[in-house]
Parts: sequence; C-alpha cells; structure tokens
Amino acid sequence: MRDALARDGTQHLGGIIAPMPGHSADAAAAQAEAVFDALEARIAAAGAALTDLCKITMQITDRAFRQPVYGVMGRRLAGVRPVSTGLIVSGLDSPHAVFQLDALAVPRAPRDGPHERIRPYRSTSMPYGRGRQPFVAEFCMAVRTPRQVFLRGQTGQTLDGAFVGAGDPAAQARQAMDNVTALLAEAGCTLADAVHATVFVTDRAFIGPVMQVVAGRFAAQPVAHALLVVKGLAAPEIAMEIDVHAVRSDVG
Amino acid sequence: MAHLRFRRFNTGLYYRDQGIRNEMCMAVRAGNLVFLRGQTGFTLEGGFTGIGDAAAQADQAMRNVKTLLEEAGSAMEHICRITTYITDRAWREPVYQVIGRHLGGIAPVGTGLIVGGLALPEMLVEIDIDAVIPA
Repeated sequence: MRDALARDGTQHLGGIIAPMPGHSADAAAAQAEAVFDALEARIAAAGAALTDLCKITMQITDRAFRQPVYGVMGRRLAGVRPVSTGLIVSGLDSPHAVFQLDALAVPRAPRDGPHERIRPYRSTSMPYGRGRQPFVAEFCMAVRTPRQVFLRGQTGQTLDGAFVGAGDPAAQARQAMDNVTALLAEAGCTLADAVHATVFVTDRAFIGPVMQVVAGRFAAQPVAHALLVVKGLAAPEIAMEIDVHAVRSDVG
Repeated sequence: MAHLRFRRFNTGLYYRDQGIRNEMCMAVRAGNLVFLRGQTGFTLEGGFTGIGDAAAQADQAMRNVKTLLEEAGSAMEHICRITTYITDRAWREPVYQVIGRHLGGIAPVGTGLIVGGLALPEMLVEIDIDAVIPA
C-alpha cells in the first residue's frame, strides 16, 4: 500500500512497523528508532515537516515496552507536541513487530502559521491514570489546523490531571466526554463538528456502560464510530479511551 | 454548512442486551471529507453474515463500504485510509485477501491491528475507512 496519502491536505503516514527479532526493551527501542526513521522519510516524501505532525497513535504489544518506545518517541519528536493515543494491543501485522505508529500530519500553507497546540504538557508532569510515567515526551491536548481538530485520546483523567472513576467505566466515559466537549470548545468547535470517534475499552463487559454514555452524548449529532476491545491503555486503571476527530463546519 | 449524517441507526442492534438505545450513524460527510462507521459482517439492513468466517465478514464489510461511500458522494477509488482490526492473527490472510480484492489497484494507507475483541463476540473483523470527494 502507498505509504503517505494526502486527503484534502491531510497526510496519512501510518501504520508503520519495523519488525525485528527479539523481545526485549532494547529490541523494542530499536524498532521504535526504525519506525521514527521511516516516519521522517515518509514526511519528507510527502513534502511536509515533522512540525506538521498532528496526531499519533502508539500501538504496543506489551506494556513492558511502553517506556523504551515512548522514550524514543519523546526524543525523536522533541518540540513537536502532537496529540497522542496509546494502546496495548494483542498483535500487529507481523508477529515480530512490537510497536506500530499511526500518524497524521497536515502540511501548513505559509499563510496559515503553525498549528495551534492547545494545553501543551510534558509526560513527566502529567499523571497517567493514578501514577506517573518515567519517559520524557512533549504532547498537547488538542491540535487545531485551519480546518480540523485532533484531540488526545480522552479517558477518566480530568484536564487538570485528577483520575476519576477508578473501577467505574461509565464514570470514566462521562469524564472523557466532558473533556472532549471542553477541548472542542477551546478549539472553537462543538460536538456537532465531530465526525468520527474510536472507542477503546479494556474488557468486553465495559462496552455497555461506556457506549451508553458515549452514544448518549452524541445523540443529537451522531458520529461514525469504531469500537475495539484492547489489552490495555496507558495505565491499568484506565478502562476506556475515546479518540475524537472534528472538522470545523464553519470552514469551507 | 452542517455535516451530513447518513443512515442513523439505533446502537441497540450492536450493543444488544446492554440497555443502549441511542442513535449513531453509518457515515458523516464534512465538506469533501467522508468518515465511515467501522464496517463488519453486519449488513446495512442489520442482518449478520459469516458467523465463524472472517473472510465472509470482511466481504460484507467491504460491500457496505462501497454502498456507504457512494451514498455520501464518494467512491471506492477515493479511499485514503483503511484500518483493519481482527481478533486473531489467523484471520489476517483471509481478511487481507478479501480487502485486496475489493480495493484492486486503489492504494490507501493501511494500518492493521489484532485486538482483544469487537462489539460482539461473533464479530471477527472491523474495517474503518476515511475517504474524500475530489474537487
């Protein structure tokens, strides 16, 4: 398949894997380096810059590899501040791949200036679930391009960093949707601008309580969606995550 | 202009026995961008095809994709991105063969994931598609 394909200026750059033998933290870091080499090559081939990157989805097959892979990501994307979603998945296309990167960039026209990055944060100053994580990486909560808004995957974590609803997937979903609504508003949008949602839960039993909240919030303006049961999210207490993509309906 | 939303459906069909009775939709058109609901072995009429047969489910999903894209004013050749979720590595080859047959020479960006499950246990594959309507 073609590597980087433009859709209305949006460059789809993933999913990138770099399968290699070995199942260790060092091997995972080596795969991550190769994946980010490939990302840089694809961005260059698309005539874009690393700073055009808006959204990344980090897909890892084993929670033990989160730290080495995110350490590489933090160094390779220093200063870029994309929004991010992190998943622990059962597998990738190749059995030798432990990490896959999905990425979206929107190349900027000179007149547009840099994309607006809302609520920037450093991984070391932001809790993930109830704990903190040792890798150093820079992210933000929302990226606004001239026409689109990309959000960080939202969970039971409030925008101030408190974790709400441990053991209660519905409460986490309510917090996540409160965050989505607030972040879209900060980016000049409403839920009516949302076009697609990807909902991740860590247990099939959470589908009902989570989707009841999510579908209820989108009832007035239904979105296209996909629903996945994954092995894990950024921290074990995080039971659900929702990825929302919006396109500003006031821009032609 | 407000986004256009196609084929609103009641989520009770997919998340059954879970008390969910809200509407979602199958496709959203935002200007010249088209986003589809993840497609599965469910027909657009709500019947399920291909119990235990990932290839048959993928075939149904891709038929739905064609119908939905055309309803939204796009077409298969304008697919930009395809994300394929399967529940077991064993489904990879049969599912990708079916997808490849439907895509033909179209070369979208692809991402493949093996996940722990989809909305219902009988669903073995879900295909998420973005497309465009060229000027």
